[in-house]
Amino acid sequence: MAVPKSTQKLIKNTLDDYKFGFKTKNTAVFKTPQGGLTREIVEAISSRKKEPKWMLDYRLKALEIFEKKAMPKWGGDLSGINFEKIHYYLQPQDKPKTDWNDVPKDIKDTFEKLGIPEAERKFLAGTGAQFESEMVYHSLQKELTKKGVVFESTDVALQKYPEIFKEYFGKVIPAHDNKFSALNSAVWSGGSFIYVPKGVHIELPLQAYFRINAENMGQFERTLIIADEGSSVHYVEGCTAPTYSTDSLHSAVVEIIVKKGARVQYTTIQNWSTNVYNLVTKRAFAYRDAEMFWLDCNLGSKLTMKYPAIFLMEPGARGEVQSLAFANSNQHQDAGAKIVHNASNTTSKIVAKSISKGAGRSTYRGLLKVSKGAKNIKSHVSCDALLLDGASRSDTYPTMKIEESEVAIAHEATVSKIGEEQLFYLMSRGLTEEEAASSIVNGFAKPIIKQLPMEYALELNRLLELEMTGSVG
Amino acid sequence: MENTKLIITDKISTQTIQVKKDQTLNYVVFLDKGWEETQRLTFEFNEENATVNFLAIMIGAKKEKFPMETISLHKTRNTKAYYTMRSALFDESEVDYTGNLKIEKTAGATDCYLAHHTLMLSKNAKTHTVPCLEIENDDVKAGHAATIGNIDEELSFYLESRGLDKKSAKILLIRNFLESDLKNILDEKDQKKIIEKIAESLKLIDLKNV
Repeated sequence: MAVPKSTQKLIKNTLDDYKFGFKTKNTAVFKTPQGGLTREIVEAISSRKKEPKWMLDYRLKALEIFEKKAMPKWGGDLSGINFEKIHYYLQPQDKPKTDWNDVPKDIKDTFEKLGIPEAERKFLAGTGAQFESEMVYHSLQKELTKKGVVFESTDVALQKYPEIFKEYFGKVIPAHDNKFSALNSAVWSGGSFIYVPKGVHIELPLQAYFRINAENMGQFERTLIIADEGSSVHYVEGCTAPTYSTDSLHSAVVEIIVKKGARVQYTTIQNWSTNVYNLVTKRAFAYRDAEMFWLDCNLGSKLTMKYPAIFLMEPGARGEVQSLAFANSNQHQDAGAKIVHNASNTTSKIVAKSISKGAGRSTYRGLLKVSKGAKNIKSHVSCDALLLDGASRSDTYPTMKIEESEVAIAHEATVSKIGEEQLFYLMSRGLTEEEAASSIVNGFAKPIIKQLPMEYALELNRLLELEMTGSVG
Repeated sequence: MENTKLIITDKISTQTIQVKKDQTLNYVVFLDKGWEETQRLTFEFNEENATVNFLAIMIGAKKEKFPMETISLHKTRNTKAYYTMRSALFDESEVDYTGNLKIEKTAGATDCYLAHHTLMLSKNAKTHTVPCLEIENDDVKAGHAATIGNIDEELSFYLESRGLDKKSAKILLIRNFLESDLKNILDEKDQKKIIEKIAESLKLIDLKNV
C-alpha cells in the first residue's frame, strides 16, 4: 500500500504558507548604492559608524581577502547570488533605542506584528531587534545591568568597550576563514555583543530578532558572546524577511567564547522567506569544563549553508549540537555541525534531523575531528532524515577524522519515509489518516523541539503541524 | 531462480561491477597491504532484484595506507546492498574511506546499509571515514553507521581474569572484532580461509605497543 493520495496532498499543502512575508514601507536614513562591493562602500560604512582606525583597517583587509577567495564549489547552488545587486549597508534610523516608544512607528509596527515586544514583556531577560543593517532596539533587565552583564548592539559595544572588544573580535572566526566570513568582516553591521561576568547566571533567555525588509538587501550582522568563568547564558535568535522575487543575502558571523566552567546555549529559529541565501559562519571555543550547546532550527530560506562549530580547547569541555531542518519546494537546507576535540577528556554529541518535502532538499554535512594528543574522547553523532514524498532529496555527508586511539566514537544515520505500518497502526487506533501523518512528523521532530523554551516550541509545533482543515477533497 | 556468486579477493581496485538480475553477489575482501592512490569500487544496480553483500576486513600496520571508496549506485527497483568494513589499525597505519549509497529517483524499494567499524590500536594510527547517503526516492530503507574505538578494557580484564595473559586476551578480542561478520556471508570452509589469513597477518605485527 502506498501512502494514500489524500495524505500526499495534505503534506504538500502544509507549510506552503509563509506568514512573515509582509513588507514595511520604510525610508532608509542612509544606504550604500548597488553596483558591487568597493573600497568606498567599506570606508563609507566605517566612517558612518565613526569607527576607530583599526576597525577600518580590519575591514579593508577583509575586503581584499573576500575578493581573492573563490566561491565555494561544494554545498548548495550559489550561482544565483549577484554581488552587484546587493545593498551592503542600509541604516533605517539614526541610533539604537532602549525604549520601544522611541523606535520609528513603521519599524515598531513590524516588530509588533512579529510579536517581539510582547515576548520581551513575558519571558525574556533582554531583547535586541535588528532591522536591515542596524540594531534599532536593545534592552536588558536592570538587575542584569547591575550585575555587570553587557548586552548591546555590536556597533555600540565597539564604542563603549573598545578594549574587551578588540581582545576577542575576529579571534574565533578570522576574516580569512571562508569567503563569506571575509565578506562579513568587511561590511559587518549590527548583531549582538554579550558579556556575562564571572559566576553570573542569566536565568531567562536573551533574544535578538533579525528582520530583512528591503529588496536586494544584504544583512551582515556580527555577534560576539563572551561567557566568563562559571557563568551561563541562553541566547535566542529569530529571523524572517518579506517575500520578494529578487534574492537577498544574509551572511552572519557568530563568535562565542565559553570560559572555564561556563555554559552557553545558542538557539536559532531561522525562518527566512524563500528568496534569502543564508550563509552563516558560527563557531564557539569551549575551555576547561565549559559547555557549549547549539540548537539550530532551519525552516526558511532559499539556501542555507550553516555548520555551527565547537572547538573543545581544554579538558572537561563538552559540546552539543542539535538541529532540525525542514526543506520545502525550492529550498535547500545544507546544514550540519562541526566538532573538533583539541583536548583530552572532552565529549560531544550531535543530533541532526531533517524533513524534506515537495522536491525540497536537505543535506547533513558534518565534521568530527579528534586531534593528535587528545585522549579519552567520547562522541556520538546521529542523523535522521524523513522524506515525505518521492520528489524530495536527502543527503548525508559526515566526515570523521580521528588521530588518536583512546576514543569511543559512534555515528549513525537513517533515511526513512512515513511508514505504512505506522500509519496503519495509528489509524487502527482511531486517528484519521491526516492526524496519523501529523503525529508521525511531530514525533520525528519532537526530540529537538522539546529542547526549545516553551513559547518557541509551541510556535515551531504549530509551524510543523499537519492541519487537516480543508485539505481533503 | 536466484543465483549466488562469491568473490574473495585481497585487493581493491577501481572498477564498476554490474550486479545482475536476481543475483546475490557476495564480495569479501581481505586487506593487509596498503597502497597509494585512492581505489574506487562501484556496484551498479541496473537490474531488479539484485543483492550485494560487501565485507572488507582490513589490518593495517607500519605506515600502510588504505585510501578507498565504495559506491553503491541504485538505478532500478528492488535492489539491496549491505556494506560492512572492519579495520584494525596498528602502528602508523591510516585508513581513508568514503562509502557512498546513491539511490536515484527510479530506484524504489531499495534497502541498503553501510557500516564502518574501526579499532584504533595505536595512538599514531589515523582514521578518516565518510559514510555518505544521497537519496532521491522516499521508498527506501537506507542508513549507515560508523564506530571508532579501542579495545574494551573491561572485556580484556574479564579474559585476563579467566587466565589469559594480556597479549592473548588482546589478540582474541581483535580477532573476534575482525571475524564477527564472516558467518553472515561465507560457508564454514571459506570462513576458515579468512580466519587463517587474519591469524597469519596478526602474527607479523608487533603487539608491544597495543
